[in-house]
Amino acid sequence: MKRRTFLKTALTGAGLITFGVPTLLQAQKQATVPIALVIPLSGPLGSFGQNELRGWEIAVEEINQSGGIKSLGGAKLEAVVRDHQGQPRVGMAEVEKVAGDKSIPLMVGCWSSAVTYPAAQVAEQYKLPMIIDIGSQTDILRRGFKYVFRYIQPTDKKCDDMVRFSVEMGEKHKLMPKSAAVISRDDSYGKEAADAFVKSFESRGIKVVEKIIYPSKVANLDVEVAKIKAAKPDLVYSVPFLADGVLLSKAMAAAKLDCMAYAALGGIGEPEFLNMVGPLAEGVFMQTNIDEDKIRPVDKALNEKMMAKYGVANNQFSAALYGIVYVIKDVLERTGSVDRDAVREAIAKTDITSGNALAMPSDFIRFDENGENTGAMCIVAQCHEKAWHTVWPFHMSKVRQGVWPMPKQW
Amino acid sequence: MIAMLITALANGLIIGGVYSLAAIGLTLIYGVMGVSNFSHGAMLMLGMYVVFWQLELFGINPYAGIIAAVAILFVLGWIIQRFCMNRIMDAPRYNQFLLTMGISIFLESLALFLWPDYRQINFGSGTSVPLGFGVYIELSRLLAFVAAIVISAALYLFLMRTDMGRAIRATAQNQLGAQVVGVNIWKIYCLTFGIGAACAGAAGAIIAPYYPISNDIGGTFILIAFVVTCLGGLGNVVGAMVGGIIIGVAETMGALFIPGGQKQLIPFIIFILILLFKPQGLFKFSGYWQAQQVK
Repeated sequence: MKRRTFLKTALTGAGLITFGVPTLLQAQKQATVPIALVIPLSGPLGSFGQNELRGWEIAVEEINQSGGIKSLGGAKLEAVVRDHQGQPRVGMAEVEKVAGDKSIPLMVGCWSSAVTYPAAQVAEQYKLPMIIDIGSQTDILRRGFKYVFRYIQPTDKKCDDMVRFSVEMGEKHKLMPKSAAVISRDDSYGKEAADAFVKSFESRGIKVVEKIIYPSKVANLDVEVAKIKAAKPDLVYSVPFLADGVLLSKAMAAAKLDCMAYAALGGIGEPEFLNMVGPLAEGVFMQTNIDEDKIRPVDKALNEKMMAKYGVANNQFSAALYGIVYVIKDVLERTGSVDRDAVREAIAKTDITSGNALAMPSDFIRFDENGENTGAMCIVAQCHEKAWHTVWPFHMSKVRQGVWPMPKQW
Repeated sequence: MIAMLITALANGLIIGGVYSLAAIGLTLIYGVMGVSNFSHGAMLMLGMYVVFWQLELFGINPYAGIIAAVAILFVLGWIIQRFCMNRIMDAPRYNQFLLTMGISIFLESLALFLWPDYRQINFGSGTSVPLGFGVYIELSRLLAFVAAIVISAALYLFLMRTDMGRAIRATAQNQLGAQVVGVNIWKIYCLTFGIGAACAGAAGAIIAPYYPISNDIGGTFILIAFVVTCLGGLGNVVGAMVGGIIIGVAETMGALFIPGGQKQLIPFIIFILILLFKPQGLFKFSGYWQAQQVK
C-alpha cells in the first residue's frame, strides 16, 4: 500500500470512528430511557451490589422484551450502572455524574446507608429523582427532601418490628424473653439500629443487659461474645455485614452461648452466609424483606430466572432491585415523559397494589410526605437445614413454623 | 469477670501470634533493605486463597496447605525483589514505597477480579476447646497460634544458626562489610523479600480456617502489623514477636474495657506513645535503621 493510500484509508477510518459510530449510537439511543443505578460492585460490599444487579438486569430484560415503556413509544430501558465501591465520596461523585447527564430521568441507589446519606443530598440538590433501594438509615429521609423516595422500611420501623416479632413469638410459645443483648458494627447504620433496638426493647419491657459496638473491620469478636455470655440475655440481636456476621456466629458457637433466640439484621441474608457457617446457621433468625419460602408466583418466577441465569437464588437485594425497576416502569408509563419534575410527581403519586413491583411482599406501594414507602414490611426468617423459611408475620409462615426457643447448637 | 479476662487474654495471645507473624515479615524486609513493604497485606490475602483453593481443588488439609502457601509466596516475593525492587534499591525511598503500593493494588484488584465474593473454609467449624471457668476457644484459633509460634521459632533459628541467616543479618548490619566478606547482597535481598512474603503468606494461611476470605482482608491485619513493627523496633525480629503479642492482648483488653467499638484505640495509643517517647521501639534494634544512624 502506498503511503498516500494508507493515509487516506486511515483518515477515513478514524473519521468514521469519531463521527459515524456515535451518530449511529445516538440514533439508537433515542429509543431508550437511561435509568441509573449507583451501588457497590467491588470492595467489601461488592457481593451485595452484585446480587442487586442480578435482579435489576432480569427486570430490565423482561420489560424490554415485553415491549418497553409503551407511553414512551415502546422505549427500551437502558441500565446505566455505576460502582461506588462502598465509599461515600465515590458515591457522591457518581451521583453527580448521573445528575449531570440530563437524559437520565431518575436513579436508584446506593445500598449502604453511609453512601446513601450524602448521595441523597446530591440527588436532591440537582433535583434528580432518586429511589433508595436498601439504605434504611432513618434520617436519610428526615431532611425535608422532595426528590428522594425509599422502597424499603426505615431502620426505626424495621427494628421495632423485629422486637415485636420476639414478643409475639414469646406470647405464642408461652416463653417471653425478659432480657436482650444488642451487638452491632460501628457504622452509622449499625449504631442507629442498635439504638433503635434498645429503645424498642425497653418500651416493651425487655431489659437490655448489654449493648456492644465493634469496629466494622474486625479480626476477632470472641471477647465481645464473652461479655454477652456473661450478661446471660434471653435474646441476642446483631447488626452485622457478612464477614463479621460469620465471625460472630463462630464466636458464639465457640463460646457455647445459649439464648432463646439469636437474630440478625441484614448482612447474613447473603447466599454465601449459609455456606460459610454451615451447621451454625441452624435456628438463627434473620430480618429480611422477602418471603424466603418463595411461594408467591412473583418470587417463584424470579427465583427460577435467577437460578437459570446466574445459578444463584433470589435474595432480598435482588428482589428489591427487581421490584424497583417495575416501580420505575409504572412511573414512566404514567408520566409518558422523561422530564425529571414530571417523574418526581409521578413517583409521589405511586399507588401500586399488584404485579412485579411487589417483589418484596406488601399489600401496596405508596410514598408518604417523607418519601417513605408506607406499604413496606419487615419479615423474619429462620434457618433450617441450610435454608431460610419465613416465620413472621405469622400469616406469611406457610412452609415451616418458627422454632422458639431456637434449637441448641451444641 | 474472670471468664471474660481469660477469654480476652487467650484471644489476645492468639490474634497476637498472627500479628507477630505478619509483623516479622515486615520487619525483616525493613531491617535488611529499609523498605516498608506495603504489599504485605495483599500477600497475606494470597496466602489465604492458596489454602482455600488447595482445599477446594485437591482436598488438602488447610494446615498442610500452609507449606504450599509459604512456598508460593516465597517464590512470588523472590520474583518481585529480583525483577522489580532490585532495580530501584538505590532510588529515593518513595519510589520503593510507590512500587510496593502498586503491587498491593494490583494483587488486590486481581483477586477481586478472579474471586469477587467472600470465601470461607469450613474446617472444624464450631469445635472448641475448654480452658476452664466456662471459657472455650475455637480449635482452629488455637492451632493458628501454635502454627504462628512454630513458624516464628523456625525463622528465628534459621536467622541465628544457619550461614544464610548469618548472611542476612550481616547484610542488615553493614552492607559494605557483608560484601567485603563475600556476601552477594542482591541475592540476600531476594531471599529476604521472599522470606518476608512467605511470613505474610503463612499468617494468611493460618487464619484461613476461621476467617472469611476476601480481596481486601489484608488491611485488617497489616495496619496493626505496622504498629507492631514500630513497637518492637524496626528491623527487630524478636521485637516483632513480642510486640505482636502485646498489641494482640491490648486490643482484646480494649474490647473488654473500652465501649463503643473503640477497641483498636489501645494499639494506636500505644503506637503514638512509642513514637513520642521511644521512637526506636521497645527493643534494641539491629539492622538498616541502626546502620543509617551510624552513618
